[in-house]
Amino acid sequence: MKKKYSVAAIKCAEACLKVVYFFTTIAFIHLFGSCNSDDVLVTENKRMAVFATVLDSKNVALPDIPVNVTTNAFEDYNILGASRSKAGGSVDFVSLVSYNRGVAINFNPVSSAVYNPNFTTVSYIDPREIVDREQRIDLDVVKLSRVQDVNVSISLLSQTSNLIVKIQYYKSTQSFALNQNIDPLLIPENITSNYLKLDEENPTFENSWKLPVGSPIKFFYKIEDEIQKDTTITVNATTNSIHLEF
Amino acid sequence: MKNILLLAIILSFSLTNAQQDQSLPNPHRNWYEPEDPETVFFGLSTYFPIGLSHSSLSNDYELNAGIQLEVNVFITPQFVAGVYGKWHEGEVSNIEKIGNIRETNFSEYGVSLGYYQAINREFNYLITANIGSVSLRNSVPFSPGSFRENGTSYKLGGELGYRFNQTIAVFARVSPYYLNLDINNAAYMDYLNKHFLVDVGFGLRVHLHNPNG
Repeated sequence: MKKKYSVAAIKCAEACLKVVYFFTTIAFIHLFGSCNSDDVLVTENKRMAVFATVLDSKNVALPDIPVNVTTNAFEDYNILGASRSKAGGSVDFVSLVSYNRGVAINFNPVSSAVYNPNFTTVSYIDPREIVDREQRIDLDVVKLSRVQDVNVSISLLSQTSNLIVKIQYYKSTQSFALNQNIDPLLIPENITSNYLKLDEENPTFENSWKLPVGSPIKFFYKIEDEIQKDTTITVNATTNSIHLEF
Repeated sequence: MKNILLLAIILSFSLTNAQQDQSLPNPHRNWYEPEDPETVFFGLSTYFPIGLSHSSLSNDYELNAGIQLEVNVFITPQFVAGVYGKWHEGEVSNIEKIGNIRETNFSEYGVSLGYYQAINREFNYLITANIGSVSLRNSVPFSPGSFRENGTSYKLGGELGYRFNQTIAVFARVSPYYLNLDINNAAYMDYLNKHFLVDVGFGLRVHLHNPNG
C-alpha cells in the first residue's frame, strides 16, 4: 500500500514539474521576445533643451532652417524633437532623451519637409549610449555654407594614354562631435574622395556634386609614370563647372 | 396577584425603553427624506479641461473631454470623504517645447474631502478638496510607441446639484487644480512641470440611503 502511494506521489510530482517547466519556458520566450532591438527607449521625466544661432558663412542670420534631434545622423525616423530657426537665426527647442541610443542634432537635415537645398547640412553627434546626457545643449553659432552645383569633367589630351586621379572634396553634409570627450574617429568624415582611372578606352569623366561654397576641391593626379601632382580649386558662388585636361 | 402585577410593571418598563431605542435622531437638513440619513452617492461626469497657465499643457496641447467616476461617503451629515478616477486625452499641437510626442493619455486617481449642503429639497452644493496621483502615457512615433511620466494634482471643486428625487440628481462642476509634473530640464522647469488648469463639467449622481436610519 505504502509503495503504491509513493509511486503515485512521484508520478504526480513529475507531472507538476513538467507543467511548471512548460509555463516557465513560455514566460521566458514571451519576456525576451518582447524586447525589440529597434526600440528607442525614452528616459522618463527628462528633456533636453537645444540652443543655437544659425548663420551663413558671411554671418548673416538664417531663419526658417529646420533643426531636429535624432538618435543617429543618418536615420531620419527616430526624431526626438524638432523646430525651425526663428528671426535672427535663433534656435530654442526641447527634445526627448533616449538612453539606449546616441544623439545627433541636425541643422537643415535632408529628410525635413522644409529642407533648404541652398545650404549645407550640419550634424553635431554623440554616438555614445549614455544615461546621464546633458539637459541643456548650447551650440552657440552654427554656420551653414551655401552649396553650389558643380559639374566636374576631366578628359585626356591626345598625348596622354593613362591618368589616375583622386578627387577630394568637402561633403554638403558636415558632421562634428557634440563635445570634446567624443573620440573623433567615431564621427563621420567631412571629406570624401573619388578615385578614377582614365585611359584610351575610357578617356573622359564627368560628374556633378553639391559642394559648399568656399570649400576646396583638390585633384591629385598622376600622368602615366610621372610623379603625382595636385591642384586645388576653391568653389565659389559662380563656380558652375570645372573642366580639366591632362 | 403580586406576581402578575410585578410582571406587568416589568413588561411596561421594557416596552417604554424599546420605544425610546427605536426613536430616530433629529433629521438633518441635508437628508432628502427626514427618516433617511444620507449615506453614499456615486457620480459619473464628463468634464472639459482648460489650461490657464503659461505651460506646456495649456499652450501645446489640445485637451479633449474626459470622464470621471467618484464615490463619496457621508462621514457626518455634512462632510463627505471620497475617491475618484478621471481620464482624458490631449493631442500635441506643437512639439517644439515638449519633444516629439503625438498625444498623451492622462489618468488620475485620488481622494477627496468635501462639505455638502442642501440649499433646499432640490438644490445642493458640494465643495471638495482633492489630491490625486496623475499618470501620463505619452505616445511617440517610434518603437516602442509610448513612455510614462507621473505627477500630482491638487484640486478644489465646486458643484451645484439638482435632485430629481431621493436617488437621482444632476450636477455641474468647476474644479480648478494645480498639476505638478516631475520632468527634469533646468531651462524649462516651470514650463514643463507647473500647470494650472480648470475642469468644467456636468454629471449624474446616484444617492443611496439607509432606510429608517
